[in-house]
Amino acid sequence: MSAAPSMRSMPARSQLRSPGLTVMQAVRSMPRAAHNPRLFIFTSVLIGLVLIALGNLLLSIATSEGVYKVASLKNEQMHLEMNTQILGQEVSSLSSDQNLSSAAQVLGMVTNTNPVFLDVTAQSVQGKPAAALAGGINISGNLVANSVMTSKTSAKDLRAAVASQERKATMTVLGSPVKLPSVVSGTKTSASTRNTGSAPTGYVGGGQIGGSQVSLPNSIPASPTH
Amino acid sequence: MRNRALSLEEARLRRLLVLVAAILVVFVGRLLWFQFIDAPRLNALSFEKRAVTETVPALRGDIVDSHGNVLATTVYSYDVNVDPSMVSAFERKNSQGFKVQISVAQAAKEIAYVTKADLTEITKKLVGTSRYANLVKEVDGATSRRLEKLGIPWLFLQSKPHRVYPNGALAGNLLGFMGSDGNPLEGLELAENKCLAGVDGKETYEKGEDGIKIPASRQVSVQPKAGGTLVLSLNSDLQFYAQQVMAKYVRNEKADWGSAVIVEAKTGKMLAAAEYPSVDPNNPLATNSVDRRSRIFQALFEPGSTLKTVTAATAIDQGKATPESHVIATQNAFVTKQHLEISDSHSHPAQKLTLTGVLRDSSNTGIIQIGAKVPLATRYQYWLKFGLGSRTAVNFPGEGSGIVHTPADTDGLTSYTSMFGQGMSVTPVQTAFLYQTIANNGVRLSPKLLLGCRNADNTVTPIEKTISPTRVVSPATARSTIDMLEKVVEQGPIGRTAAIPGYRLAGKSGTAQLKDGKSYGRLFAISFIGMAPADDPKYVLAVTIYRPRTVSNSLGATPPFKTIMQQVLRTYRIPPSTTKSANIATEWK
Repeated sequence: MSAAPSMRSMPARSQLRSPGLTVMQAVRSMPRAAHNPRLFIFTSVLIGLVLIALGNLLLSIATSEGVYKVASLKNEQMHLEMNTQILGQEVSSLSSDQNLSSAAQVLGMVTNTNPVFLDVTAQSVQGKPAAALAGGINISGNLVANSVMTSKTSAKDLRAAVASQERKATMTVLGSPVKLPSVVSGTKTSASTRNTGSAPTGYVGGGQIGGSQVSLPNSIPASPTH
Repeated sequence: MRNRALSLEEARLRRLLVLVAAILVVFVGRLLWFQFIDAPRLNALSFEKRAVTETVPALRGDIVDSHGNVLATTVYSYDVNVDPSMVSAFERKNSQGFKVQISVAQAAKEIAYVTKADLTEITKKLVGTSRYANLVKEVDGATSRRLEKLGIPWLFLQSKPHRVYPNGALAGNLLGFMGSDGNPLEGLELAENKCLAGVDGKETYEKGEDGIKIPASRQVSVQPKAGGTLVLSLNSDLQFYAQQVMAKYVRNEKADWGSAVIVEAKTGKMLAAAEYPSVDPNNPLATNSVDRRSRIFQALFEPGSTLKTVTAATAIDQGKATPESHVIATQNAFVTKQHLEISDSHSHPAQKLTLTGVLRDSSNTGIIQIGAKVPLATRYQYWLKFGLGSRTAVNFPGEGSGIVHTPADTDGLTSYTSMFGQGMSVTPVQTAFLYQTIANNGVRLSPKLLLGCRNADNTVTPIEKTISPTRVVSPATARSTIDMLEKVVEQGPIGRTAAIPGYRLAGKSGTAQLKDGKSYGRLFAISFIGMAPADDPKYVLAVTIYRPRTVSNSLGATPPFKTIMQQVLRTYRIPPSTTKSANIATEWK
């Protein structure tokens, strides 16, 4: 059905050739470029070139932005790596034998020369228990040099942390739920306060002293794990 | 006429066209030459001008103890550089967000404050027209971060790998240290550089005027290969404790130096090799040059009476004596045809001692009577089997082999004095392994300090030469020797001071005279070497203190021995002994 009208509207070839018909009108209505193949090709090439140039420009802009982004990310990576290094060195300093030894002495810890062992299998005690005494074999102060020990555990904060733990243990034994002040952690280089809600926690040189208190069945608090 | 003029014009036009065509041909030819024929050379030339080749430094491997505690590692440090031609006042936003003018003098003060450098030196270096000056070398990351925050536009930080020893002088004399140029200078850093040093990488890229890499520019990269991790047998906590103890006693006794070597008897692993003075490898220049090396492997001295144990074990092993062999130990003894005299260090009447009693009282005149029953050539062979006169498999830089004279080179007197440790020289590590041999049922093991080099793929490559264990004396001889040494600690006037309540200990003291010119001087090398628990020895400890000035016998060596051995027993959870020592007579009637 749709083919019939188009068949009717199509002029016969003999009619087009006839000089009496106004064929020129139809030619004028055609696009100039289509009429002139050279112009059409030139225009197409020109548009193509412009499009390529534009695409290239956009690609170049995008790539350039990518390069700057990569450079920026690399800078950020370096920054973070430096942070890691700084913190790592601080941790190394705090965990060095010299710092730990000093911190132990600040707490009054002394070496017990009478080690005692519990033989679970034989259910016996090996060794003679005796109180650890200051002096004797205990060596006060650091005699092993360490020039990179830049961060040290703060004695003041350490004592405060221990005192807090003792108060907490005492109060737990007495069964008086008293809200405790938060404990200030401590290093000379990075003192900060950490307060985890209602369960204050003491940190010493990055090591957790208290944490959540574990109670034994008879309500006696277990000693904090160091 | 007109046609002729036209043809002339055409001819000229043709000539012009030919000329233009010729020029065009030349240009096109030249273009083809550049584009195709000479292109590779020009490209290479161009690339050279644009390309930047950088070395990507490989990080040096860590040194760790047997538990993985880091003893040496590599981080980045920063050189603080400046472009003096750019130095001028600048603006900076303060905490309120207002711009403030910062003068050069103010900036110099801030740099000096942050880096703890001398302000005068800093100020001097900021003046000039050069494009580069180094203000401070090798500041750490935290300092470099503070410098960055100053926001000084003409200050530049250049990173470079930097060796750090987190525990300072802990095992410093073993670890060694690096030079300012990044090359190893001493100790294991030097000896094990093959394991620790990585392989640098290379990166080649093209960059624009702003210094940023040109995208898709050609890059030739050789990936850097990080160094391996050197794993030591040391227990760093024990090492620290032993160093603390040795520092205390060497200082108190005003000695030249002291050392403590702890060995696991059944494996030969060195658990600690402590010495004082010790060097902090982070700052080796703070220590005297003579104290920067490891005396445990390098120092040579006459062992003195600790060698009597070897003489006694040799005689028993050769069937020439038993722990209860009889001698009459006099104060003095004439032993050679030249009427040379050998004396005991302490005054005493003639004593009827067994071999065990000889060791207990450390009698020179007694031991030579037992030792002389074994020919010198045989004793010499035993010395060699005990490891004297040769370097250990650790092959530490500058390690001493010690001196033991061949029988042919030994004179009459030395053939006797060598029985109590004179006329020969040893290193502290050799003395420790004399007793390791006894503690390990008579089998000498090679000292094991380097457990291996751990590679990136976590495989461990052995470093030390594998030396087969050496059977030196029979297990029965070793047991008899331990039994005798127990009596030294139980009953000996000096040995008793090394006793640890609740534990069976075996050991022997040594007070070696030291040459001062041609003759022996008034200072000594004192030592105490022992093992615990004596019923089944697990650990051997050798303490040596060189030239103490407040004590003149081994009573200066037993307190550090006792203190360190107690720590060893605590560390490795060795329960107190439940058995008693063998019943051996020390005297006879």
